[in-house]
This record gives sequence, C-alpha cells and structure tokens, in this order.
Amino acid sequence: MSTIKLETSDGVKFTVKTQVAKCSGTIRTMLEDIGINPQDGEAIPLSNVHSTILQKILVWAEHHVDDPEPPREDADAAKRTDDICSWDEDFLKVDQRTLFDVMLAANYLDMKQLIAVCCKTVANMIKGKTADQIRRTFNIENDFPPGEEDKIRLRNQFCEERSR
Amino acid sequence: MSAPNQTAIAVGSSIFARVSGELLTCAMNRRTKRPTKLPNEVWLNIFGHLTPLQLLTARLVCRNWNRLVGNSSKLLDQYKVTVPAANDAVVRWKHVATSRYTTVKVSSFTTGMIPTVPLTTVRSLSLENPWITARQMVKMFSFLPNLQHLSVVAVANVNYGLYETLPAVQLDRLEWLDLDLGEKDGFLGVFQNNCPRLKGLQVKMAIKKYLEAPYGSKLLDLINSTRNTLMQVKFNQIDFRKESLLTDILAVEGLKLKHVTLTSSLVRPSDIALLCESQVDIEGLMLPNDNIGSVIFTNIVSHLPNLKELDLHTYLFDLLPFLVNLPRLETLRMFFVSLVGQLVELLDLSAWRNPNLLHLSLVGFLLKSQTLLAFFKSSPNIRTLTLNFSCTIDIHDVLVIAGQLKELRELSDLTLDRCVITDNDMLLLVPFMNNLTALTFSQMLTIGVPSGQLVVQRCPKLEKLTVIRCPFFDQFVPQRSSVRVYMTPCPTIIYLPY
Repeated sequence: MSTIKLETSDGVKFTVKTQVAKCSGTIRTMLEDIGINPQDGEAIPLSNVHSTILQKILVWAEHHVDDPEPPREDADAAKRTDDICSWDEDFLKVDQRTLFDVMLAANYLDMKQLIAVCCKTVANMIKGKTADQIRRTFNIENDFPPGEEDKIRLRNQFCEERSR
Repeated sequence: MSAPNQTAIAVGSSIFARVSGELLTCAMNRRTKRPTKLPNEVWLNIFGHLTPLQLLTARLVCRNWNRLVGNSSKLLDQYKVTVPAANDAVVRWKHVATSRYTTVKVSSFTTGMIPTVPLTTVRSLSLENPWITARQMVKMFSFLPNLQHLSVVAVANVNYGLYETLPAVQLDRLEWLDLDLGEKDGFLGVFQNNCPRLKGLQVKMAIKKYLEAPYGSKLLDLINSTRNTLMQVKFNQIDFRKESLLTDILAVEGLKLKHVTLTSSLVRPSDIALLCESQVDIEGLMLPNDNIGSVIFTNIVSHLPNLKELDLHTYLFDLLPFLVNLPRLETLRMFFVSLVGQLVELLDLSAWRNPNLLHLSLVGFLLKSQTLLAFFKSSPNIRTLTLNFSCTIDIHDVLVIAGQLKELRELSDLTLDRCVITDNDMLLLVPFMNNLTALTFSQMLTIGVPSGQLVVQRCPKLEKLTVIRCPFFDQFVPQRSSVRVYMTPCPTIIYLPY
C-alpha cells in the first residue's frame, strides 16, 4: 500500500496512506499536478498545520476515506445544519480553539467535506443566540461605535426572507 | 528516533498506535497561545448556513461580520426588502442603493416613493398597488439598469393617459415580466420594443374585463417585439374567445414558445386545435363553457400529454380512455353538463391510477361511491377534494366515502355541497377527518351549529371552515379560536335544489 510522508509546522513527520492524504485537495494537487513523487521519501511540508491538528484531521480523513463524492446540492439543502452524522458530531466535540484550528487547517488543506461539517457546527453555535450571546461564545469584541447597532437594526428592519 | 522531530507516525488501520503520550503533550505545548482567527471566507461559509433572520442578528455582532454580510450579494440575495408607504421612503431607497440587496418589494407605491438614486444592485422588483402615472413608472425604470424580474400587481391604478406617448425606456436585462393588469391592458405598451431579453411573460386581467380595441393588440405587439427570446407565457383570466387573439399569438413568426399556461382563460375550440398542433408544451388548460366532446378531448390528450392542470366542461361520462393518457395531471376540475335528451351514465374512475393527482373537483357527475373508492385507492395523494353530489349520491355513499378518507392520508381540504346528511351523520364522519385543514359546507340544508362545533372540536388540524348558505348556521361561533370561519349568509328565500 502506497504511503507518503507529511511534515507539520512543528517538524513532526507523519506516514500516511496516499489514499487518505488525497482527501486533501492541496495534497492531491501537489501529487498529481506538481508531480511530487512520494516514493522519494521526502516529506511534504505542511507549514501551516500543527501536528496535533493534523493528527485529528487524519483521524477524520481515515474515517471518511471511502465516502462517495457528495452530490451537487441545491442551495436549500446546503443550508441545512441538522444533517451532521453522529460520528462527526462526536469528532467535533472539542474546545473551540481546536475546532477553529481544525477549520483553519482544513481550509488550508482544501478538505471541502470537513470544512462543510465544521461550518455547520459553528452555524449551530450561532443559531438561537442574541448578538451579545454570540459575542461571548466566540469571544468577539463589540467594536461598533455607540448607536451604530441601532442604525443597522433600523436599516434592516424591512428585510424579510424571500419566498422562492 | 530519539527526538520527536524525527519521529515518523504511521497512519494505517491502527492509527497512531505508535504515538507516545509524551510526544503528543510535547507537540500540544508548542501550539501558539493566541486565539485562532478564522479567515473571512470561512465565516462567509458559516453564514451561508444561517437563515436570513439569524443573519440579521449576526450583523449586529461586530463590524467585520456586518461588513462581510453586507458585501455578500449571495447572502443578501435571500432577502426581500420592503419599501414601506411611509415618509422615509427616500431614506429607504438610499439604503437599498448603498446596500447590495437584490430583491425589493414596494407596497402601496405612490408618487412620493419614486427613487431618486440609481439602484444598480436591484435585480427583482415587485410593486403592489401602484398609484402613479405611467410616465413616472417609466422614469423609475431608468434608475433600475439591472432589473431582471419585474412584477406589478394591480396595474389598474396606474394612470397612463390614453393619448400620452411614453418616453422610451430600455429594460435591457429584463427577463421576466409579471403584470396583473386589472381592468385595462394599455400599460403593456410601455414594454413593447424595450425588452430585448424577455424570456417569460405573465399577464393577468381582472375577471370579465376585456382587452382594449383592437382586441389584444397591445399584448400581441408586445409578444411580437419579444418573439426572439420569449419562451414562456402565462395568461390568467384572459378571454380569448372574443377574437382570434390566441391564434394570432401562436402564429407570430419566429416565436418559439416552450410553455404556455392558460389559467382561467377562455379559449375557442378552434384555438385548442391550433394549440395542439403548434407543438408547444402546455401545462395548464382551462376550457370555456363550450361543452367538450370526444373529438376535442382526443385532440388534447394526444397532443398535450404533459398537462398538469385541466379544467373543462363536458357531456362525456366515459372519460377514462382520455384521462389515462394524461399521467402528469395534478389538478383536474370537471363539470358535467348533460346534453338535451342525453342518457346519463355513471362516471367510473376506478381504473384510473394517477399518483400525481393532488386536486380533484367533480361537479354534476353521476357517481357511485364504490367506484370512487377504488379510484381513491389508486390515487392516494389527493389533497383537495370537491364533490358536488347534486342528487346522485345519498348519505350512505357519503359515509362510505368518508369512511375511506383514511386511505387519503394527505386529504386536507374537503367540500361538501348539497349533500343530504344530518348532524348525527356528522358524528360518524368526523373520525375520518383527522388531517383536514379546510372544510366547506355549501348549501347544506340538513345540518347546523352542532355539526359546526363538532368539526371544530374533533378535527385537530382544521384551520378554515367555510359555510355557504347553510340556513342553520346562524350565530355560529367556533369554540376554538384558531379556526377561522367564513360565513356566506343564507338568503331569505332558501334555494332548494330538490
């Protein structure tokens, strides 16, 4: 079985099944388009990914390696956030920083399915909360000048969902 | 292999078996302490999973989020902005102009509400009850260079002036035009020669209002001027019987219609023949009061197999051979009008299987409950059912049918018209009405308030109860406030059908 080596930002080298590594669009491009030969023994440097995070991501990729290509979803189906499979749900039961690090790495590695499931998870953290609760959840500073919030609220008060 | 830097971690079926706890702790410690910031593209991805309402809350979180949402045409495309009939309309338009909203609705559109700034992002505009002149309307279009979809409801209020020549307006990108013209069709002239990309046209007239003389020329001219791009037309409540208008439209040279929908529009038999031959894909057909015979019916089913909506008057009762050839039918309304001296036989639909059928209305037919039941079993998705039994089905049959309504899990709308049943019979009927959301009693002379209270109490999903000319429903007040009751009072002289 063919394997390749990946080297993380903190210098840890991982030996990974090629098939698993190819869950990452970035690595796939490196192997297929740029023509990096995995047999050379050279590790592919992933300078933006820390070993703890890569380890986690590889667990996910290993579990999902045989997933079929997702169907092209229409806009409404893509909006759903209640369709996260229970394995992924458990997998993403981590502290927020790890979740964000995974998302950052998944973004860098171009893993669309992982990003999607993470984004749904974060969207679920936003849903049903007030602006203030959202700020506390994500530790975001309210940087609006005084009165600006009311202005935004006023400007958007006549917006409603468009029926399709 | 002593330093962690050189350690190779194998990922196979037994992943990380060789990772030592020490190594992981070591690696963990090296992660930076400052909090992770997600890039904007990831936030936009997350926002894509929020509903429009949740998104509005998200805009109030911080300046960056507000900016991200406000700059994303894709996210703002989900909204419809209503410009209210208020003094701050100008401010509202300015907001529309500076934000990137694409869909705008204006209710009660008056002179003071004409925008004064270019609205370059608006692609879809819906105007309701405009009270302005056509000249002002045209002026407004000049502020909407990217308009793709325009819908105007009740154009009747537009004072367009009969002899006024309107300034030319270019709606270069307009693809869909949806006009509820009300009583006059002169406004159509505004769009003639000005919509080089028009794909779809929907025209609705107020019922029983005729197009201006020469009959329908404005409509014909508009279609003529858009013949190279027009693919779909929907006509609603237009009387095509008066002149050869429909024939003329279909004969426009170069016009390649793919979909023609005639809703509540009246057409001549000769037009139907022409429609059938013209190879357009017609989905909805409502035929005039002309009594349809087998020749026209054969013509329809052989040429228009994709019909989804059919509404006709006929003297035929052996309809099965025709209906089996319309497999996509979703809505069927049939009125039986017998010919003088005609021997009337039963309408038997029992062998007709159509899972697509959702709405069925049968008026005046001689029906037998057993054959109806067989039909219901093979067409289980019917949601709306109107049966005007006249005098042909008695209470026992009604009960049998009602008893079988449980076969029709989806049935939500039932109309009982002139059926001879008593309040006691209703007691037997209600157990089968669990999924009903709408119920109509029409000219029911033998039931009254007790039946009304009964259905309100026992039909858990009932939202709407309509009572038309039932003499014993005086002073009926439902005991459940979530049920809306619509009453048409009984005239002093009771119309007795029997």
